[in-house]
Order: sequence, then structure tokens, then C-alpha cells
Amino acid sequence: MSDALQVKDIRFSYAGTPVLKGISFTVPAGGRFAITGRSGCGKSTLLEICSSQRTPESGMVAWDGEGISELSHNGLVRARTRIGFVFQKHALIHNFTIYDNVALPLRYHRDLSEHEVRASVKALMDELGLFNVDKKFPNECTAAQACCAAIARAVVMSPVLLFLDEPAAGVDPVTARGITNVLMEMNATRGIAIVMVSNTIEILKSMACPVSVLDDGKLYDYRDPARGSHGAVDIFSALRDAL
Amino acid sequence: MRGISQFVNKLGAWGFSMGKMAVSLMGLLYDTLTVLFVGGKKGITSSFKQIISQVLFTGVEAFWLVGIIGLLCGMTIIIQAMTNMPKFGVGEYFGKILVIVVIRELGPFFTSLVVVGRSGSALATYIGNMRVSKELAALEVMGIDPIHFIVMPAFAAMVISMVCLSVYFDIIAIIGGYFIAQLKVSIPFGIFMSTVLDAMRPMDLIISMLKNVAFGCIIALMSCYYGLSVANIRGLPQAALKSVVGCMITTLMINILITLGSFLFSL
Repeated sequence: MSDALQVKDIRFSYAGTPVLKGISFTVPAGGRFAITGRSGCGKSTLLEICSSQRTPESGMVAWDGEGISELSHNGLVRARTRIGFVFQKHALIHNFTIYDNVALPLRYHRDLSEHEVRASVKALMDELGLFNVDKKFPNECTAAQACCAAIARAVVMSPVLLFLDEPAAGVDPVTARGITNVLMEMNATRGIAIVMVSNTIEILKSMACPVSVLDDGKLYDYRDPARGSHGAVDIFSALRDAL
Repeated sequence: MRGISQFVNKLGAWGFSMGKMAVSLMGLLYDTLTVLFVGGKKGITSSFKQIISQVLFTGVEAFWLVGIIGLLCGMTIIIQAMTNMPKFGVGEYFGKILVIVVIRELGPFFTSLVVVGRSGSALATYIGNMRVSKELAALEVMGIDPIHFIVMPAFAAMVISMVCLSVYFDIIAIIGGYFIAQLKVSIPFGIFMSTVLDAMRPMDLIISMLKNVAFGCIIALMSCYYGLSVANIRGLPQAALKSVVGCMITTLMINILITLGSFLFSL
């Protein structure tokens, strides 16, 4: 079985300033991987490159063994149905109800009757604890409901790979824990590989997965003894203490 | 000398940016028509709900405004026609005047102004907002083409709405004209209508429809273009403003081109 995600030597610059200086990592099928780092270090940019929203200056990204840079436009459209992405602010279509948001990828890509779409969407929404929000619009939902709706929309097509950009940003610790539980459940029952960017140590702890720190354009394991100063207040020390 | 050089530079830069925009609009038109006519099952059928909702907003909700403008327009034209035309011995041609002025010119033009002001700016803002809040990025990462999801339904809806609203404008303007005409001279409605219909030629309706379709295309494409070009939240009000101004100028230019063409070819 090929790896869910392979990233090799990704390089990217903003206005001539290198942000990613040769990033490589692999996420096995059904695995979990978390990336953290200081604000503005390029975590979201890396996630956008891995999910084909940005093109790197050099390097390779492969989903399920298939390199995405070699794909034609139609090939990329088809490949994108095998991944899901949860944005930091959810990016739910604001004039669609929660139900229509979750059903959107199914209606667009699958040749299903409305009855079949309803059955799939209702089952998924119940699984994620989204009760009585079908007819609500995203601005009428709580942060937890919006996050779960975004996760539901991202997994409704049964992807092999799920990217999450700060999934618990701006929510209380109890809600954050609930979101993590949902993600662990998705990972365990559906075998969806998870790649997450997060600055919340509680989230990183509860995901119980390899954590890498994006520092000065490169990825380091948080346990790397060469990084950080023991006793100093830096991200490596904080992670070593917490995880 | 330096001032002239700077002026020429600015003119060149403006011309270049206009050329670039024209090419982008042509590309957007091509992509939209491809999705609309060659999209297969994922073409018009899967966006039907969105087309209907856009028609409701652009067309149905503008009925009252277009109706008022049409009524006032028709009344004004008939007042002027009945006041001034007899002075030149051409009083019996008021039907022809109504046809030429309302159906060929004012109907499409005033309708386009209403659609630009209401729907053009709203569409540019809606798409720009989707860009800023990453909803467009979400669509793309789901493998959903924004052209298919947003541009094509807006395009189809604008053209349908322009045609329907313009016909509605014409009818209301003619009825308004009739009521005002009654103040001066009592004409049975049947005779009034037959005067107008006798003055109407198929080419008048063809020219009117051509303008309505062209204006609908332009308004949809330019509004979508400016909305898609928004880079950040500061660009949102700019997009709405540029969309309105750009659509108005372009519809005026298209209007004069079609009118000139019909004049030169005696249509």
C-alpha cells in the first residue's frame, strides 16, 4: 500500500525570501502527522502546497503514490476528490445551509439521487454530532458546529487524506478536545490519513502522532536535541515538556 | 518633454491593462460557454438551482424598479412626442417613436442600468467575499470549478433576466405612454396598440434582443471578473465600484456599436 502523502524537497519563497527550504516527509496510509511552529513560519503555506492550492518552486508532492504536479487539469480535479481540506475559518459557502455545504461535493462529483445524497449526508452529520443544524447557515452556527460541518464536507467523499489548518483555532479547550475525538474517530474507523497544522499543544497531545516543527524553513522532529535550548522559552522546549 | 513622455507612458500602461483585461474576459467567456454548452450533465442541469436563485434575485426582485422606470419613461416619451411632433407635422408617427426609442434603445439601456446597479455590484461583491473568506479556494480543493459553480449560473441568469426585464420594461413603457396619451386625446387602447404594433418590424425586436443578450453577457462577465480579481478585503469595495463603472461604460459602447451597425446597414 503506497503512502497517503509523500513530500520531497519542497522549496518556496515569498517575494524572494525563502520560506520553505527543502521540506520532505511522508505520511503512511491511515497515519497521522502534525506540523507546528511559530506564527508566520510557513505552516499554512506548506499545507497549501501539499493540498495543491499552491505550486512549489521545486519539489514533489504525491497523494496515494500519484505525483500531483504531473497531472492534467482533469486529472487534478479527479485526484482532489481523494483529499479533504478543512480551512482555519472553515470556508463554508456562506449562502448555503449546513446540509447543502456537506452535500455539495457529493452532488457535484457523484451520480447519486437526492435520496441517496440525503442518506449519506444525514448519516455523516449524525456521526459527527451535527444535530438540528441542517437548515442553519454557517453564520448561525457555533464554532464547534462550523468546524464539524467543515470536517463533514471534507470527508463526505471518503478521502484517503485529510488536511486541517488549525482546526481548533478560537475554540475553548473542551470543544477542541471534542474536535480531536472526531478526527481520531475518522482516522480509526475510515482509515483517513490526517495531516494537521496546529499551534495548540493540547490538540497536538491528544492527536498522539509524530509532531514536526517548522523552523527557519526546515522541518525538525520536536524531540531533536540539536534544536531549542533546554530551559529557554521556545517552541521545542514547550513541546518537549508537554508531549 | 518629460510631461509628454510620462503621459505617453501612462497611456501605454492603461492601454496594456485594458488589453490584458479584454483578453481575460474573452478567456472567461470561452470557459463559461464551454461549461454551459459542452458541460454535459455537469453543465446546466447540475447548476439549475443556482441559476433559478440568481434569476429570482436579478430578474424577479427587480420587477418593481424596472416597472417604475418603464412607466415613467413611457410617459415622458409620449408627452414629448405628443407635444412636439405635431409642430413638425409628424404627429401620427408617435407609434414609431415609441418603438425606436423604447424598444430599440431605452428598454435595453435602462434595464441594463438597473441590472448593473443591483446585480452587477452584488455579484462582484459576492464573489470577492468568497475569495477573501477562502470559499473559492475551498471549491477548488474539492475539485469544483468556480466557473461552473458561480460564473456560468450568473451568466445564464443575467442573460435570461435582461431579456425578460427588457420585454417587461417595453410593455410597461408602452402602457404608461397610453395612459398619458389619454390625458390629451382619447384613443381606444386597441387603436393605440395597433399603431405601435404596425410601427414595429421584426428587426426592431432582433436588435433589442441582441442588445439584451450582449448586455447580460457583459454585466455577468465583468462582475465575475472583478470579483475573481479581489486579492484581499481592501479590494472588495473597489471590485464593486469597478464592476459598476466598467459595466456601464462597456454596455454604452456595445449599445452604440449595435446602433451604429443597424444604421450603417439600414437595419
